[in-house]
Amino acid sequence: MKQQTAYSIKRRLWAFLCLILSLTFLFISLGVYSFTAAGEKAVWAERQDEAAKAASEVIEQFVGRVNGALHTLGYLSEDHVNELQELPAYLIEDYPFLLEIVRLNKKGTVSQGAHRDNPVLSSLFTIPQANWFREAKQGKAYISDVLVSSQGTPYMIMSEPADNNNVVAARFRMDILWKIVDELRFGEGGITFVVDQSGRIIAHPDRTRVLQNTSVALREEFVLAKNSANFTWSGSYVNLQGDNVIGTVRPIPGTNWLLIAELQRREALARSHAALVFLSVAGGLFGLIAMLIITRLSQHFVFGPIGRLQEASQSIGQGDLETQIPVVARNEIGQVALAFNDMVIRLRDREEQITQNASLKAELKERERTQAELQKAKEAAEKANLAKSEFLSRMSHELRTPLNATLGFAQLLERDTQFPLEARQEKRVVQILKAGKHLLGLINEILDISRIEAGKLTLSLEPVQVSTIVFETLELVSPLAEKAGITLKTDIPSGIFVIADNQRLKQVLLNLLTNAIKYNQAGGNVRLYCEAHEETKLRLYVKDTGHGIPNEKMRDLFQPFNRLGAEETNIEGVGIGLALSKHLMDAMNGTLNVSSVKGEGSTFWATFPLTTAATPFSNNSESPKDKKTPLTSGVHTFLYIEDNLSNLTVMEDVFEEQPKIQLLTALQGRRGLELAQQHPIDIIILDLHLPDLSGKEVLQQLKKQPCTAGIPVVVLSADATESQINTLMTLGAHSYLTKPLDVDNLLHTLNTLMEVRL
Amino acid sequence: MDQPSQTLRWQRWQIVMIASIIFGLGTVLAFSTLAVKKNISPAEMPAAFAKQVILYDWENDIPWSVLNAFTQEFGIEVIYKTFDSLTEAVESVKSGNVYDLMVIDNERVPELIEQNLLTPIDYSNVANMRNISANFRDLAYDPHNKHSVPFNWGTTGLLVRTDLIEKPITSWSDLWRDDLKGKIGIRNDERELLAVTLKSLGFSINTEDPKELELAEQRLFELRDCVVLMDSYAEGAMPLLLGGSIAVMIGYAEDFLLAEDAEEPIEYVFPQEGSLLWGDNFVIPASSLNKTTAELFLNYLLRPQVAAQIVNENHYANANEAASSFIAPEIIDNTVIFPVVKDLINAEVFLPLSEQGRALYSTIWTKFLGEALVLAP
Repeated sequence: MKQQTAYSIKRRLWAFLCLILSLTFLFISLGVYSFTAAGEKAVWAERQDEAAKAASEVIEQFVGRVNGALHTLGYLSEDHVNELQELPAYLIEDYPFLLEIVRLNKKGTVSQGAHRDNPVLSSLFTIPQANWFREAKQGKAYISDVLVSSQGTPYMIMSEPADNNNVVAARFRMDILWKIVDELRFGEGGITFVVDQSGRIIAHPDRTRVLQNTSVALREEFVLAKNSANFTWSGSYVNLQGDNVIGTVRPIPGTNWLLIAELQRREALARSHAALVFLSVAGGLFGLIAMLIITRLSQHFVFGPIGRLQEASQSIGQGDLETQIPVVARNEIGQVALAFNDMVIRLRDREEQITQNASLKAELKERERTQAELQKAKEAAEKANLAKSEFLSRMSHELRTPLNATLGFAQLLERDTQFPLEARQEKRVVQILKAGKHLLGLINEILDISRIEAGKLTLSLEPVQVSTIVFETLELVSPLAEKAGITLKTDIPSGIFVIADNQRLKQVLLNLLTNAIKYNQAGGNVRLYCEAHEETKLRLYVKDTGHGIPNEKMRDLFQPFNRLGAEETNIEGVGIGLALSKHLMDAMNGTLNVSSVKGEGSTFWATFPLTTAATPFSNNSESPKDKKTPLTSGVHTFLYIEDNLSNLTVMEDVFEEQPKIQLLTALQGRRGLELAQQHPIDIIILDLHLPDLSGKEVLQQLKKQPCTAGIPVVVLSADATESQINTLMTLGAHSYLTKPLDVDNLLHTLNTLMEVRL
Repeated sequence: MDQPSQTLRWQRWQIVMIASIIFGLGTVLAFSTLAVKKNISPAEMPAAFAKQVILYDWENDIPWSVLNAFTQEFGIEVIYKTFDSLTEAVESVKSGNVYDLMVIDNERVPELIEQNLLTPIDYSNVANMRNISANFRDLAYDPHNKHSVPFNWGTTGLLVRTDLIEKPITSWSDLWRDDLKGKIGIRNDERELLAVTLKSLGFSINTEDPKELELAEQRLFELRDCVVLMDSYAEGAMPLLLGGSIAVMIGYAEDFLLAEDAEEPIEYVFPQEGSLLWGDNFVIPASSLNKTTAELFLNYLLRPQVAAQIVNENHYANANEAASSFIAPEIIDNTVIFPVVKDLINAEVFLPLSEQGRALYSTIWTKFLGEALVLAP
């Protein structure tokens, strides 16, 4: 498709050319016309002027001849008049234009006269009053208006004074004068006529003008001539007949008449008009031809090639790279075409390259798509994982509450000093405790993993002495090792500190050692040793002599609940120990790695950041080992605010064994507050989940009241979340213990508090 | 893809372009032809006429038959206003009354022209001027007939009871005869009797020569006790003549017509010294609101037939030469009304006097009236 450009250069250029051409011819035509017209006018004016001059001379001569006749008669003395009575008749014969000639005495009586047709002057009875007589008598020459007789014959009367106060007068024909003006024609339509001083037409080719007493008195040409210095004027106007004429007005000497010569303007300017018409037609035709030629030439040399360029570029724009522009000439446009063709070739090469790259591109695209899918899958998985963690978290929390009671009562049974258990009973209670603790451990581990995965695990990283941890751990696992017949070997020097969380490190180590024992061969050993790595790190190795882990299973080693086939053995476990350990190590900025040789055993090593300085908190790691720590101080009153009856029973049982402790209990928060105000309370143990007020509110109330503000509050809650702990500690709780209740830990805490208070 | 359509096919805009060039050419040509096209001359435009024309004239001077015919032909109503004396007529015009065509005598014309009370006549609208006799063209009171067209004219002569006189009367001088003492009727006219006196002395009736006037005054006073002052109207004067209380009276030719059918032998005499000629003229007062209509009316009145009809009805001689052939034979052949040239030899037309002349004439006449008044019984 060819585009119709609204503002095409071509159209504008040609429109401009057309305009310029038209204007040029218009100006040339008008210019030539005005020049020729002016010239022609000037020539005509000159000719007209000359002719008018000649005409006026002729008329002057005519008038002169009339005068001559009058003079002839007038010169006669009175004496001769009678002698030459025949003279007038002779004069009439000699002058064909004379109709009548008379001589009158001073009284107006005709003394001499002759006439051609019939007597007029001599027959008048009003001569003395007639102006022609009176004027001549007063010594003036007189010329009358054109007088038309009732028969329609025009005539004029001319008179002049004669000898001895006499008057001579002549009546003469107008035909001669009219003949004269008839002959004075300019061109075909031009006329010449004579007017008297009042503007009345005396002689005119159209005789009716005279007979009808036509006057030009009010006409422009007459007024202008009358007002001019010597009654001479010329110019263009519309004449009596309504024609556009160029006229000349000039006086006729010897008379007070004016000669008006008119030339038809059309005739005067005939040649100019012809020139104008010719120029217009020729110019127009030439313009047309010129336009056609220019159009064709510019089309051929400029716009055609440009159009082809345009089409080519459009087709290239639409992707047709096979287009080539025919290079017709080696001119500028040809050069552009060449350059264009060159460009197209380059474009084509480029296109080919691009096509080759297209497969790569597709692959890349596919990969991107996969990635996006993966991302989606990952997000879905993460979401699912989160849901799982949430579920586990809830499950374990819900499991811990009944377990709390189980373990609590088992411990009470075990510790009952009043009614000590029989050996068999004690053994069973110990089994209950063992199983319960195992279950608790599992739940805790699951919780830990879910916390880690949820990013909610909080660690207290501090310098920890490795040897201490190792010692404590070995103490814990040694019964297990003994039972399994595994030899434990350690080679850990004291005084080595690493940055880690005391508890979590122990947990990891315990895990590794437990695994090393559990999955060892009978009579095997476990070796625990450490070495510095890269100066700033410490590697803690646990090397066993088990079956080893096959390479193909190595990948799943740290996956939770994946026991690598151990589920088919009778070895206990749920398969989350390593996963948790790995997570914990990661969380503590360390790593957990494994190498294994099938049949020879595996070596797990944990890597920690090394540190040199020990901290005062390192003592924290000291756990109360004395199982039966009594509260040694004097009589004290404790308040336990708790709504769970089983928990209350456990606590009451704990303090039943402490005779110096009075335990007050409250099932509701408000009741607890009342008690706190009414009694001198030493320590308040506060559950957070209460029916009326929340434990948090109770704590705030306590801290607000001056009488209770000083009482240390130990929070005991199943809610082990970090934020909750932080909140309550900030509000003023002394300690935060989590359920299930660890009686030893509680007593230890209380003991410490009592010591401080005392 | 379109094959280059630009090659040799006319495109719409190209056609438009060529059309505009041709149009431009056409415009130039049209312009050049227009420039030489005939214009309509204002002279050829029909003139607008008024619905009416106001005529101011002596009573019955122009018959209604003529006026009605004009109205019938042109649809222009003629309003005929009349005056009883020339003095009244002049005063009326001077006071600004509107008239389109007026009839006034020769003597008053210069005065009216001088006071710009008359409009020049455009003779291109009054072609019938050619019908006017050469005798009345371009006379002294209105050079070139610029403002007036001659109308009626007549002679002042003597009406004589031939039975009451002993010797025939043939000249103005006969009035001084003893036998006519007390038997001469005259009218109260400032110039008439003085003109008669001047004529009897061979002077011009229009003379202002003090010597001639002095002589005339002396001669006039000789008539002191001899004349009878009559009513200016012929109807009033004629009974005196018919009754025989006077034997001769100075009168107009038309006065004679009243006496023509009477039993008493009355003769109209053209005195040898020359009759007095009076003349009336058509003039267009400057107050005319439609000069063209006035000229149309005037031209109509100058038609030979129209002029003849006026003559036929009113029996005044008319300056219209062409009317002669349409005038009833008994009138045209009546030599009292249309005198033969022989009778008009030395006849003279009253011409206006100069201021001084008029005063002179007035003084003489007043003196004459004061000294001797013989009133008609």
